Amino acid sequence: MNKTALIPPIMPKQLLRRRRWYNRLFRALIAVAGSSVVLMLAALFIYLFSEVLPLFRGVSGSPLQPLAATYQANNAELPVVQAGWPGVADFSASSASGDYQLLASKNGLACLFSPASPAGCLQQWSLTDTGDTLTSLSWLTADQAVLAGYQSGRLQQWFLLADNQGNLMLRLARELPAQPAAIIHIAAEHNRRGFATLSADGQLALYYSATAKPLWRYATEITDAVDLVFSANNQILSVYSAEQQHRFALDNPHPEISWQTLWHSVWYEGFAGPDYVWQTSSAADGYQPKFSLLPLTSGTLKAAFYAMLFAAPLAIMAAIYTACFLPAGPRRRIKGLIELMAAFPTVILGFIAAVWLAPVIENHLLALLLWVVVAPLSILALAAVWPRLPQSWQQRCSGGAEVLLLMVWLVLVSNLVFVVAGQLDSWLFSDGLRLYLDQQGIYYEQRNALIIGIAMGFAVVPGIYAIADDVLHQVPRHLTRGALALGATPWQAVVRISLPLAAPGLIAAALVGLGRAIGETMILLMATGNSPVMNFNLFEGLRSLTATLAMELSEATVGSSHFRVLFVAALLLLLFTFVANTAAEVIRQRLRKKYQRL
Amino acid sequence: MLQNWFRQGTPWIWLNAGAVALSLLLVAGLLAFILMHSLGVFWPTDLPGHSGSKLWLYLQNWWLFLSGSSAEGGIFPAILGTVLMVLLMAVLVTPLGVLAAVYLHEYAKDGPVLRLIRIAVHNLAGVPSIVFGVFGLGFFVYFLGGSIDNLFYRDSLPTPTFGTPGLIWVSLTLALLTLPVVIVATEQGLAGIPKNLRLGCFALGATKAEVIWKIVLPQASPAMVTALMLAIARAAGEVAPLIFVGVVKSVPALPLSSEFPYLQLQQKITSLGMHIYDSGIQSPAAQDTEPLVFASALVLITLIFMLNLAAYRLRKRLNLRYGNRSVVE
Amino acid sequence: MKTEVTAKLEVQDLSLRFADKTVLQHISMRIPEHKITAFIGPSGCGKSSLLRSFNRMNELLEDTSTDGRVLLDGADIYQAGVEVAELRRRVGIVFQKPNPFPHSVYENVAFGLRLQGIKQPRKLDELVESALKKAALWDEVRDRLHHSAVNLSGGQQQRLVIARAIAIEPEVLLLDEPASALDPISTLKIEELMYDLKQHYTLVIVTHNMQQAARVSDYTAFLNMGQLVEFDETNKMFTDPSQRATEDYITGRFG
Repeated sequence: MNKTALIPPIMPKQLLRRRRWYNRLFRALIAVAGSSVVLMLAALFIYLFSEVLPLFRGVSGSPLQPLAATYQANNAELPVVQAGWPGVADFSASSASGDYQLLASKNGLACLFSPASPAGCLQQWSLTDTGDTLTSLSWLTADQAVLAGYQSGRLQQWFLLADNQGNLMLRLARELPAQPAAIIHIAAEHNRRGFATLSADGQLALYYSATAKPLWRYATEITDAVDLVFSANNQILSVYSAEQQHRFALDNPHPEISWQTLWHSVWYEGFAGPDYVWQTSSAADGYQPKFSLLPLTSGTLKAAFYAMLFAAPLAIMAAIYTACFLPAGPRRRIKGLIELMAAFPTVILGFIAAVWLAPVIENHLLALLLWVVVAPLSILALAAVWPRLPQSWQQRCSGGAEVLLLMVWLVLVSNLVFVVAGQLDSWLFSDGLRLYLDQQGIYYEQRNALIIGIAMGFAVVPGIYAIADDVLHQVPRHLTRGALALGATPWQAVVRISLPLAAPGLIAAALVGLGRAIGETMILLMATGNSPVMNFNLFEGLRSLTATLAMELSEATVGSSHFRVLFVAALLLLLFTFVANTAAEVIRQRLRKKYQRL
Repeated sequence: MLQNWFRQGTPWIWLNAGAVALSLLLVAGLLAFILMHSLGVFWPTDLPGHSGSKLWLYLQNWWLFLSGSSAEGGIFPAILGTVLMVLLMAVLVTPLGVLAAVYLHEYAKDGPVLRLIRIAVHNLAGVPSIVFGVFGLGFFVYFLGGSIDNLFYRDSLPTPTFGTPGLIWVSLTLALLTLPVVIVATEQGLAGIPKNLRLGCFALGATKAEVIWKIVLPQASPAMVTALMLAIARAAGEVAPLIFVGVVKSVPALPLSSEFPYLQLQQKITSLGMHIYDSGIQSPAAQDTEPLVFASALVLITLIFMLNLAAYRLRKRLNLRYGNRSVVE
Repeated sequence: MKTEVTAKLEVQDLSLRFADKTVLQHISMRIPEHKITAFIGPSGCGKSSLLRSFNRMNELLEDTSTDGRVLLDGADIYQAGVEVAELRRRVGIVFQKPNPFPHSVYENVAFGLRLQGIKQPRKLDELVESALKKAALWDEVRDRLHHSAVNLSGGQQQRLVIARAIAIEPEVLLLDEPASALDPISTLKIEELMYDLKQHYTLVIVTHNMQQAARVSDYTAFLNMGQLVEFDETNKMFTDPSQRATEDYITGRFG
């Protein structure tokens, strides 16, 4: 062997340099890819925030150069005072459509009548009972509300509502915070429910009808104002004095949205009282959108709650069995099958839940309720009988085969329950449980939270199960073996050793499942009634944040309040799941460390 | 006696086994239910003739259903749309997902940064899919698409070209959605490669990049395929987020053309999932289309199950290959 | 140690820690060129770690920190700016368990050569053949050069790994218990191979087999608990150790 016969493969410097560069480039590329995951999550948050933020930005306004203009007084004739009304028509406000007219005297005596049928007042009453002097009066857009301003600076909002007999009348909806000086002018915005007031001391204030606090205030020097008017796009507020038009440019894109309208109960026009309402669109023009997120959030939580009620115990119990009591072979096979549940697209689950499960459960409600009680009992019964069966049977059914046996058993028991429940139903309740509930005043909707609990539970089980099975299986073997060696039964070893150790992991599993349930869309979209109600009734429907997004985002105008509120909903979902998943992952990381130490 | 029985635990074990049995029953029941409702749909019951010709007719009906356009009651556009969107997604998500997994497993040192990234991966996996849809609509369609239009398609504005929902945005959104799936599954594969091999490669004077390119990635390729299949299976059934970014209930034209570039990236598509949602719930004649919806569901489930099964098989083979893991000292 | 031997490697006050565990403490020694140096000592004494610190393999394991210097031909390999890839080409290593790449026999040997930028098939063929010959494997694999290396026997695999390592012409070859996973015949072959190789390379071998150390090595170092207890010519070590601990270990009284 002659060393010189070989070409010594000493690298040229150039090649060395090139390899070094490739190495660095690759490292950089990989690092970028690795951090891109964090970046993406951050991008999600940042983008959603950026769309939401304009909602909560305050209103800004600035005075423009005044114009010289002679004010053309609106010399409408004062209407005839209605028969039998004792007041003096100092103020008269006609609604935009002309359907209603309101007369009022300075001392607050008021008369609401309809010019179309001038047969006296529809309603005749006193706007104020404190002896205050009325100084201004105006209808809001869409003829549903009236504003009244007083000498003392008080400001009242009255809603046009039907009373029990169906007669329309104005009712005091809210008393807005008083201003220091008399309110001499009120102007309503066009197409939306904002309005502006001008006080005797020249103070301008901008309001939105659903919120009491002024959105914007501005002190002017104008004391000789004769009128207050919004431009057609609501972006310029003009104060007319005798010779001048003082103009104020307003930037107020989202008056409808505030913390209060999103999360507190608000008394909207047309409602008998304050409520949490989500109503975003209507055929009617000049409709006031109502953006309370509470019904949607509670709907989401309600659905998630019932789904977890079904899924978490089932998944965790199943995990305990496969992780702690099954040999490796059957465990792997059964695990694969249960995880197959995750492969069903939720659109299919939603479809089946809506068109098949919902009517079936409506017709067999009693059977389902009965089954919940009977099925576990039947398993216990089988367990009791089991040791008394011949040895050869028992041996044949070990190492996973008892699961098969239980499946057959459950099918038999379920069938029996359905047959018996059918008989019971007609025997106990003459027309069946479903009608009985109606008679008892319990409202039963076909697509309800029970259906969601089952269908979404099905979708959530595999996620919880997979993590629960992992954490239970990873409990170091020597610990449970030690317990068994000390004479504990297998179950005692699990309860005393495995479960306490793995408990945080099981909580993490449940959290991941909860996150999944909160974020699920298609099942909720298809198998709930999508009515935004607020209750936790098992037999009633709901409307979730996710389904709302799915239905409304495509239709919302980009940049509108509706559009941005939907982004608030998305942000809310992201935050919910972020908290749940971060907590779950931190718990799992800690648990992994703990296992390593043991 | 009863108390003692419970304390020993036998009944609890049985109840837990019952939970397993119930879960399996649910899976089996659902599968059987779908099969029962879909397999018979095209059986020509009311026609006379022997069963051979009936079978022929049955198969023909299936074929017509699978290959027909929406106007003919078929689901071909939906199948094509589904396939196109997941393929394009696969092209987009694989490089990033694999590289990110390589970072996590090969480069990152155990510490706060790695923990942070892992939390981010699990978070991304848990973000509601509809939120990705919202992001896709706002960021991809309006922002990215709008910018592309402004830069390259000035002439046709204000009619948007890319600034409107379309295939490319569907695939991008799906890629975001499935990124964690790819990362997690690939990382599992990387963990299965014996450390010995890497050390052997380093011992020959290879740089880290060379070790990964020449040894690690080729060895991890089955894991990458597994990851991709899981991602595709997840994406194929997704509907909610895609409503915003370009999947619609019916399309006037397929996103394919005979001229370059053959694939119309900006065109809207329809998918099997959307088809099920729309004709199952939305359409006014839901009662009549119900059997066909079950048939579509069968097609979708078959597709997804086949992918899952293939992924499962591959993973098992991978585990067998490295059954005897070894690490130096 | 006699002064006429030139030191290929010189260890100066080397300490090594894994996480919070000290593995090596203040080791200083000179490894002579073209000789076989054996490291012996009880399990966990740090002999493998010391071996791996000669081509900076330790830093591929988690959480290690090295203090002190290791000079290769007088230049510190732990200095900043040292090209680790190039260092590892000059100082090859073979591990206890054979780790052929799941490629063909040929590709295993050609792997390192390709990294060095050698691409011409003729030259590759030539170098692969010569490396396999040097590793005394050529005759056994010449007919199945393009079959998977994983199908070779354990001993063949280990010689393939050695061939792979020497194909890129290292100056030092580190062998970490190269024969401990092999049968006696394969072990014998590997030992013969080492004897041939020392003409071209400086060999350092870790072994816990005392006879092997005595048979093949020129110098022997005895390590215990992370410290170098004794380092001398093998003959001297095995006949007249200066330390009590060495004698106890060699005669099998502990370890």
